[in-house]
Amino acid sequence: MKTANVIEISALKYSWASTDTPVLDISELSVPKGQRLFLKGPSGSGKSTLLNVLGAVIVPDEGQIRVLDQDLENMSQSRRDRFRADHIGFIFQQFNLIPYLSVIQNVCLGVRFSHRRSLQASASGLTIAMEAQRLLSALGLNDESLLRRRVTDLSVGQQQRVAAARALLGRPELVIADEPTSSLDMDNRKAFVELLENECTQSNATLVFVSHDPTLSDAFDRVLDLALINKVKNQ
Amino acid sequence: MKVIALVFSSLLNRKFTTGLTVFTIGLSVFLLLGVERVRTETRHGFTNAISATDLIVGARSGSVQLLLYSIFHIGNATNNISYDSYQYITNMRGVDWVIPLSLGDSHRGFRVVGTTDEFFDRYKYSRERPLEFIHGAPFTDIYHAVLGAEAAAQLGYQVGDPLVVAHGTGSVNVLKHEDKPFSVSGILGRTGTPLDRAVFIPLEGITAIHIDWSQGVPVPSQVVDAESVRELELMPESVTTLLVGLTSKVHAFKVQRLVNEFPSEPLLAIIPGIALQELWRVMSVAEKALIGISVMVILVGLAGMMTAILTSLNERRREIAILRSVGARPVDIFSLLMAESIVLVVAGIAWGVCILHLLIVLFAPMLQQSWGIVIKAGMLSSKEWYMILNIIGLAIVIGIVPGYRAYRYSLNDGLSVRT
Repeated sequence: MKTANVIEISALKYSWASTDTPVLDISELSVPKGQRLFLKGPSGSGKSTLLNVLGAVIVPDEGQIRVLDQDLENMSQSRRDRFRADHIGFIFQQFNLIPYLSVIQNVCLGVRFSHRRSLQASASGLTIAMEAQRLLSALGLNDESLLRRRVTDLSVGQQQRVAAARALLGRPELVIADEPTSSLDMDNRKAFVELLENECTQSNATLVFVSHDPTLSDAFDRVLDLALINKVKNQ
Repeated sequence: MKVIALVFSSLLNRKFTTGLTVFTIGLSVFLLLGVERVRTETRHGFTNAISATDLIVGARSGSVQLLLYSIFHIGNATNNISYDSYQYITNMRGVDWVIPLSLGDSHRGFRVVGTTDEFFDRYKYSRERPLEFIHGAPFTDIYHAVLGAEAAAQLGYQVGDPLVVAHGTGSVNVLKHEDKPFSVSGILGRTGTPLDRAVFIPLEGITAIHIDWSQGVPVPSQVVDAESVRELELMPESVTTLLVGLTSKVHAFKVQRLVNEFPSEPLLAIIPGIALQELWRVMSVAEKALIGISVMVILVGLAGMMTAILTSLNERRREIAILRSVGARPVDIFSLLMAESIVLVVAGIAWGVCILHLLIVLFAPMLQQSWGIVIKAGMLSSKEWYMILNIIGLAIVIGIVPGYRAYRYSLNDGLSVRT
């Protein structure tokens, strides 16, 4: 049954194998296509576990997780890896870049693993590298000399924008950002969120933005508190 | 396999550790290949130096000792063979030819070999190759000398040049046969055997220079000048060793036994191939020890590599999580680490082979000068390839350790490493 929801979770339970204490217990969560969701996730709310579930890295013990109309819990591990490469762009809190690759190689890292995304990145007639440059300049990194610099020489703000460009390259349907602004100062945070939202709108991607900074939530379609939907408390 | 493309950038990012690891592995590979190369080339050289000779006869001693001093000019004879015994053996049934060699003198550090001109016809090296004169001709006079290629090159002698033979084989010669100089009549082509470093003079020449000597020193009262010596009987009283060719190899054991049981003088006859085997047996203990040590050094090198990669791994957990987030499978992470090990080892091997050849080019002439061992640079032998493949195999086995560890990290950490 095809739905308009990009993410559908029902009766999901997960506990780490080593312990038996559950870390995630979500009865229902659905995110419609194109929505920009702000997920408030204080530490200990099961946030990283949820991201691993959404990223198809781990499968829940119980319940259902559908992303883009695919049941992740029934997929083999290598199919889940492929699915993640094809459909999901990730931005982490910090240290998003591979230190030994150039800016442009870092941006293009994702499409190496996904034929689908490399096709979509070059769909507009541009080469992948040109599309990467277009994204970088849309995100405010239009200085050519920057592309050849070592990524470790970039400021944290610049690094996060490179990470955003990587997550967006090849138009993945779902972009998941895990506190991408926590290492930025106030002015840069707002600017970054704005750029990210614009690019998601451009490429028609659904955005799940996890942060515990409530001042950013204004710009989002919907605000959810993970602590409220996760029935497991006090971890 | 998309991660494999990352291997080189990843290794270059850690230039210092990578360089050090490759350097260490290179040295260990060089050591192993070097020991193997010296071993096989030495054997090859020794085997090539004698062919077409069925028996070597000398005064009774050890067969390895006889082989070493007669053919390889290593060490000295303990005693000589009388001229009568030489004549007797020449006339034995089954004996085709006998070449006498008289050793014990030298010219500026090069061994002087007294022999007959038949030597140049009979002696064969590298299976069936005869000796060739590149300049001049064999002896036609008792004061003629023929030089091996290396001796001629190092001394810078041409045909016609004079040379003085010194008594004894030490490098510092006090006593010289200055009253009876020789002249170069011919120069031999290069053979890659100890002959290249020899100076050949006629047996009569040896007798002539010693005729007025006694107990290793000249006797002033008996001086005979170079020309009047020609009037005398110049057949030597004794020679050092005999190279014997048989009419058929089937006689080898019989003639050997007869010589060994020779009643009037204690003699020893050896079959060169068998004596060589004995020499290899003596040497194989040392060879095995050297190979064993080299293999240990390889293991140390590979263990060092494993440590270097394992150390880097902890800092790279973040990198692994990033690769996972863009779709790398755990098995890709495993391959990345495996490939790093393999690239390091292959680079180390390439480096080791380079050092080997560099050192061969630099030091082979010195080795040939001091020991007459010819080591050639050039293609790797199948044995050496086999060793290299084994090292790569070992590297793969050792590479599994960091590979598996990274694989576990990629599974356990998922996308969420706290750094």
